[in-house]
This record gives sequence, C-alpha cells and structure tokens, in this order.
Amino acid sequence: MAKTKKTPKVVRRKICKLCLDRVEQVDYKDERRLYRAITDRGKIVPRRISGNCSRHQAQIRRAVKRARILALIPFESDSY
Amino acid sequence: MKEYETVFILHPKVDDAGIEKQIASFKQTVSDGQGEMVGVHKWGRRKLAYQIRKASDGFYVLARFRSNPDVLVALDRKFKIDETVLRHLTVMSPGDAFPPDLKGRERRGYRGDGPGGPRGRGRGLGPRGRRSEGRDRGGPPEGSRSGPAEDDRKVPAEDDRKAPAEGDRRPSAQAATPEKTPPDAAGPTGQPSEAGPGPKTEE
Repeated sequence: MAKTKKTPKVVRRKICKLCLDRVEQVDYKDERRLYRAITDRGKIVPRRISGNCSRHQAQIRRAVKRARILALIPFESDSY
Repeated sequence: MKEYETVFILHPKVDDAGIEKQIASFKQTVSDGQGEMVGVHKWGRRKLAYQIRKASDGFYVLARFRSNPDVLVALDRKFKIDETVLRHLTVMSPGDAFPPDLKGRERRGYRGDGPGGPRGRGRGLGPRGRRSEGRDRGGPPEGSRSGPAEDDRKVPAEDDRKAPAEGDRRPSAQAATPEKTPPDAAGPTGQPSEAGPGPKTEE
C-alpha cells in the first residue's frame, strides 16, 4: 500500500560546477574557490549538496585540507 | 627528481632582511641535497584564517624545486627547529605556471557570498552569473543596460520629489486631511486585493 502510494521523487540532476568551468586541478592556494567549497562553519560542502563529480570533490577535499594547514581557510568558524 | 612546491609562513615579527635570510637558507638546503630551484615567490603578508602561536598574520613564501625526496626530510627538520616559521607545507608541484596568479584567487570581494553562498540554490547562480558578466564585458550589452538603468533611477527620483510636496500642502490646508488621505490612498489598492481572493475562495 505504502509503496504504491509513494509519489515519485523529483530528481533534479545537478551538474558539477567545476566540470562546467573546465577546472583541471583544484589548487590549495585558490582561496576564492575553496571558500565556496566550504560552509560558513568551515565544513566541506558534501557532494549531495554541491553536486560535484567525484573527481572534483576529491580534489576539493584534498585542497581544503591543505589550505587549512596553511591557515588560508579555517578549520572551524563561529563567525557567520 | 620530482618537482615539489613548498609554502612556509614566517612570523610577522620577521623583518625584510630576515625573510631574505630564510629564503637563502631554504635555497641552501635544497642545493645541499643536490636539488635545483625552480623559483621563489613572496606571496606576502596575509591574514591567517586562525591564530598560530598568537600571531594573526604571517608572511607567506612560495617555492618550487626539483630534488630527491631526501631534501624534504631535511626541509621538514629545518622548519620544525626554526621558531620563526609558523607553518610549512611541501607537496607535489601542481605543475602550473610558476609565479601563480594568486591575486586573482584571493577572496577579495567574495564576502557577500559568505552565508548561504556554498549552500543549495544560491550556488547555482555562480557559473551562470560569471558567464553573463563575461558576455556583458563584450560591449554592446553594457550600453543597453546602463541606459534604462539611469532612466529608472531618474523617474522614481522625480516622483519622490512630487509626492512629499503634495503631502506638505495637504496638512497645511487642513489639519484633519492627513487622517483622511491614507484611507483614500489605501482604498483603491485595498478593494481589488479583497475582490481578488474573494471569488477564488468561493469557487
């Protein structure tokens, strides 16, 4: 019963923005891009929100972690 | 021989001579390990995203070199001993043009995006917005845009000037009119809005 009545999920296909921009490699010094890849709390925006492809998400993950070490972006932030 | 990239942050108290000394020392360490420098770039004084040893800013130096992995150990050791180095990071070189365009990558002018920027729908406008801006820079769209925008600004400005002038006259003529005029002004706008939802709810 419950299964038949379920409305079909509205699937909006997200496109990786980095693919659109033809980004080859995400640079850990690219502060501007990295600030858009983290939340106001400093967390990495998950793929289900950002819609990034796995390749670029992995690049972002690595770049964010490096940039945090160099104090380019915060590990955590209360100010928002 | 692989190419590496090192970034190190010097304490803000270090003066220009000290910075040069650090760079020279860095080059020396690389050459001692039979490595060759590709280039050194002074990124400059930057604000830190968080305090390191109570310092809130630091001098960033970016360097690229080719060497054996042994040099990385020597560098790491050197940086760890040196108290004027707040942070250091050595990674495989991304292999792009060496003095990278760091200014274009700075966060400047992006604070407006801050809250909500990385989240959900707001982000979707990012690439589209940039593209439209790029097209606008082409030329013709700018002229067409600026034209109507100026007209729009002028028109409301004139209305604003007239409106207060009328408002000033009315209270001067009769003291009671200000109370009457608001209902009159609200009347025409209020009636259609009341009539609008009315039939809908009945249906």
